[in-house]
Amino acid sequence: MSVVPKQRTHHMLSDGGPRCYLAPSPSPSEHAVLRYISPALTGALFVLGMSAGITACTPTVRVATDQPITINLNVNIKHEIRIKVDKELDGVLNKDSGLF
Amino acid sequence: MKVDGLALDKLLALEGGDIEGAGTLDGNLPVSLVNNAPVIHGGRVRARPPGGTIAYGAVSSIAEYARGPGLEFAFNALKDFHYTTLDADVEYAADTTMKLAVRLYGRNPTVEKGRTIHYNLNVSENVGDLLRSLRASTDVSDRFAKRLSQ
Repeated sequence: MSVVPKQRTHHMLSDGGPRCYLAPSPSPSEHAVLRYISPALTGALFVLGMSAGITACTPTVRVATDQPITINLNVNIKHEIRIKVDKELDGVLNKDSGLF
Repeated sequence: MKVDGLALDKLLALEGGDIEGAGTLDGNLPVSLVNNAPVIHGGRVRARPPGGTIAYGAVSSIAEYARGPGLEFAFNALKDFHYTTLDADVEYAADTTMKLAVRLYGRNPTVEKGRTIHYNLNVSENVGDLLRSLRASTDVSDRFAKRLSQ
């Protein structure tokens, strides 16, 4: 049985786009939540990952003696859902499955 | 809507495991309806004295993308931040975008020998996406189980 991983990615992002993008979404291994479903599905792996990407731009740090350090930082938090489905399950998860 | 004694750690838990905090928040979030969608204009939340702590743990992954000492310094300061003032303006739009203007004053004992830091943090986040991502796990699982049992 050859299993070819297939990835479906739902990008639920974007609010017009940041001015710069220093921190793209972390890789699935960093933040992914692994979830094994139903022992009856031997060998079938269903992976659902959620990740939060952070965009931070143009911080300014001002240091002056005897005064507080001032940090100005703009952060844009984005949430992304990634769903990976094994080839084996691809037939189950077709367009008519009502899952998506 | 009044915020009375909201625990900061519960609020930050919604953002995942990267950030933790301690403290108690009070404030006022005036909610009104625009075309049946809730909006908040002129909301204000602040921490009760004597303040609390914020610990942002994902500095290493951020640092990979941090180009320049400014950003690295800014995130490092949040690794173990002891604040005396946490004061935030809250705006929530009909498209579920939330904007926070946070004034976070305090110090990190390991940064610049614990010198006072005035942190002005502008956070923009789509709350609708946040809720969807929190719900997606159970949602997809439920539908999957239902499909299999058919």
